[in-house]
Amino acid sequence: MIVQADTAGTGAPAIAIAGLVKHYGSHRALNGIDLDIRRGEKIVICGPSGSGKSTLIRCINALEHHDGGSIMVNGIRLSADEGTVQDIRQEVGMVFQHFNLFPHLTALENCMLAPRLNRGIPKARAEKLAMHYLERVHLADHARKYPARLSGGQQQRVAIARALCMEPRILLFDEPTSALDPEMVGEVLGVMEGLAISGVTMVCVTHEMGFARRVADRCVFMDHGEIVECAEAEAFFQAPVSLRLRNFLAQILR
Amino acid sequence: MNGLPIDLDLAWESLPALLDGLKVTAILTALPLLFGLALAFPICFARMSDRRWLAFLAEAFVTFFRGAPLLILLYLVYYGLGQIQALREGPFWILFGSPFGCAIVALSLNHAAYMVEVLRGSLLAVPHGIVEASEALGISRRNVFIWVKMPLAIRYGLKAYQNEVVSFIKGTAIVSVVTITDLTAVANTIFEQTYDPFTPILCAAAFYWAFVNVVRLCFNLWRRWLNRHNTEDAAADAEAPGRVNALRPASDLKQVMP
Ligand SMILES: Nc1ncnc2c1ncn2[C@@H]1O[C@H](COP(=O)(O)OP(=O)(O)OP(=O)(O)O)[C@@H](O)[C@H]1O
Ligand SMILES: [Mg+2]
Repeated sequence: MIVQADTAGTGAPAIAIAGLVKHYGSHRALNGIDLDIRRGEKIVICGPSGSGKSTLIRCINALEHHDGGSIMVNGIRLSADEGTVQDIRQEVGMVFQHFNLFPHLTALENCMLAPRLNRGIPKARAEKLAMHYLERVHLADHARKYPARLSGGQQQRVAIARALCMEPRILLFDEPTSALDPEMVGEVLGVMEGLAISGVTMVCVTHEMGFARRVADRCVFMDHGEIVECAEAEAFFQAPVSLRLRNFLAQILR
Repeated sequence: MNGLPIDLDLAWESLPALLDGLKVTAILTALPLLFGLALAFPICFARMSDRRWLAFLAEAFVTFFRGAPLLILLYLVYYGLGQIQALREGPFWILFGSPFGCAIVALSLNHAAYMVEVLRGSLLAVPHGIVEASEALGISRRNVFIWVKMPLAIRYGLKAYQNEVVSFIKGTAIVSVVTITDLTAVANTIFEQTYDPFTPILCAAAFYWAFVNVVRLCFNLWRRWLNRHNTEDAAADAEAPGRVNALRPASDLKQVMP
């Protein structure tokens, strides 16, 4: 168990997960996860389908409610309380596999919505903020387009800009490139690598092992709702300990 | 007399009376559409609530008022409620004492019951992932509803709403049974006075047709405006190859709505 003060000290980890358990009905999707993530750390999570990767990161911003153990985000203990959940979500951005942009809003409006609603930022300032982050994902030229007019890679970059507009300290990615055509994977990974330098904490579920090697501080391998192996990126790939990870890497790097 | 089944002179003479009837029909459409919709929202929320008893009550409302034929409903409100002494002496008698008030009440209840299902179907058609994305951004539930769910639900449900409004307009013809002189009643009166079986009824039909089509036109303009994100900047089409995640038509809407 992790002993941890409830206040956000400078030394506090960005995310502290202890004994996390999550059931879907009788199915145990997460079976006692312990994971501490330091501020600014880049974590890559991988593992076979159904191993609980999505469930784990969705618990961090309370898109799923866990039913055992604890999650602390920036020193705030996650509970079912709506106010707490809201507070944590202001600090945690998320990027989904299927982009999930608002189809009725332009790229720019997609980015402006949360800052305007959550922070009451006036329109002109929200627009400036949104343009700033759209530039950062190299989409300033497409700001006035609706999602239906953008390619998959462009849509995913808008989704990243949309998350950045809330200026979160933590970013969660759930297989951000696996719904993309191969030729668009690079542009999204490029943007993510750019972000990694910025000091934001990143937790990324991905099977892009090249990306993991270049960016991750630590890699986590999950199977059957458990963390089987967690190691520095170098060791993770060069000297995997468990047989399951070795098999997994052999398959994926085939 | 020419070969037409219509007596043009009679049609011309009847015009003012028919227009008055149309006005009544329009009012008997507009007000219940308004009240019905306002009523449909809370009932729809109740219907979708996790609280079982609340959802059950809402469902009972929908089942009853959709199941009851409008004519019976109108009779119940007009003749039935008048039997209740307390109501006759209460302040609501202003409403229930007049045929017009009763018609508004019955039509509103009927429309509300149908709109609950239209609304529910449209809200259920909003992709779950998009709602999750809004929640992940820390947007409050209320704001998610106002800025994300409703705007999308309107787009998915517009066709169903249009159908309901059009059939509702035609349904208002029933109010003539409680002595209201709507468009149908006016035509009927003219028929009784002249024994011309075609002219008044065909004229009334033409008015209904025009009314319904004006409504349809409004809906089409509304839809075009709402769907501008799929039609706009057609010039940009060439440079945007793969179009994923287009606002998909609500194919699952049909399953929800009978
Ligand atoms: N909403 C749900 N209801 C029931 N079971 C679920 C639900 N979501 C996930 N599960 C189950 O929980 C387990 C973990 O799912 P999860 O989506 O976290 O896996 P994953 O590692 O992200 O897999 P993938 O690589 O396919 O995305 C799976 O067995 C899955 O079937
Ligand atoms: Mg997953």
